[in-house]
Amino acid sequence: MSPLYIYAVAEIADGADLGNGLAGESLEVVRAGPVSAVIGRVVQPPEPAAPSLRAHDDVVRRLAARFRAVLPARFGSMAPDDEALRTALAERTEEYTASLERVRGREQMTVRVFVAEGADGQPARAAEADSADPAAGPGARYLTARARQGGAAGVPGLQAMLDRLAPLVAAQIVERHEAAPLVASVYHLVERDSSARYREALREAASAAPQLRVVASGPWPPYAFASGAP
Amino acid sequence: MKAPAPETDLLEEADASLLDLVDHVLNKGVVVTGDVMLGLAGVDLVYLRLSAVLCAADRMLPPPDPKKR
Repeated sequence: MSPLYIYAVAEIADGADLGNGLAGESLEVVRAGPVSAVIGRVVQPPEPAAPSLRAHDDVVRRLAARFRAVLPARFGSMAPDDEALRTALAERTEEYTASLERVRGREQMTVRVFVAEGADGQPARAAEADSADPAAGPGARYLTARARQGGAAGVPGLQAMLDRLAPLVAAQIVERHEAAPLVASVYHLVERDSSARYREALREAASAAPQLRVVASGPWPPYAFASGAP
Repeated sequence: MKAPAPETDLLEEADASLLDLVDHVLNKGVVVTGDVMLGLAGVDLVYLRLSAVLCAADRMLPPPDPKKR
């Protein structure tokens, strides 16, 4: 029996024609109670290369366009057979149901936040210097500095910007990055078809924070909101 | 898809699409069975490079013009 390549966990109507997967295989549904996985039976897993990533994303987007509640699977997720997949789905039915409820009728916008050139982009280094206990090794100093800059708090102006977007946002994940000038990635779950309004609001919010530069992409299927609650 | 500013257009349509794709498709998304293919063992490395390339792309862009903001 061929292993299963998993594209998404979703609520799928009975008898839906799902089209084909990234190896041209027909997509199928494996159900476990209220949740289903959309899978393809493949001979071997896809290469982790750009064309396969795009193909995976294309399939997920097609499913998301068709169904209102879709959790994209991470690229490369496999199950050995139907029974193993059903068991795995059944073990976390509650979590999937909650996540499906959260993303229903919504899509994701992704914002990369940079410290603008010429601005004093020192929050990360300042925090590091603050915590520089001479007795601690570089690893401990790094971890201490990192612990101090969780979420939006370590980036001046970011929280204010996020507050301005809040009316359009159903859920938010903020990831800090160490590699300045990229200081944070923000993932926002927004109502479908609101991305134009979101971009407009982001542009206004960004103009109030000249020390930051932001680059938005999307709408995306809700990759960042596919598992657990943030 | 209309982006607000020229520098945003540039980054979005050039590099960001692939970089965002890598971030979203390899680094996010639900893992159902725990069996993610072995070929993806280098994903952390890919993701580290994502940050580096995003930053490099940022430096290629013209500095923001305050008058436009």
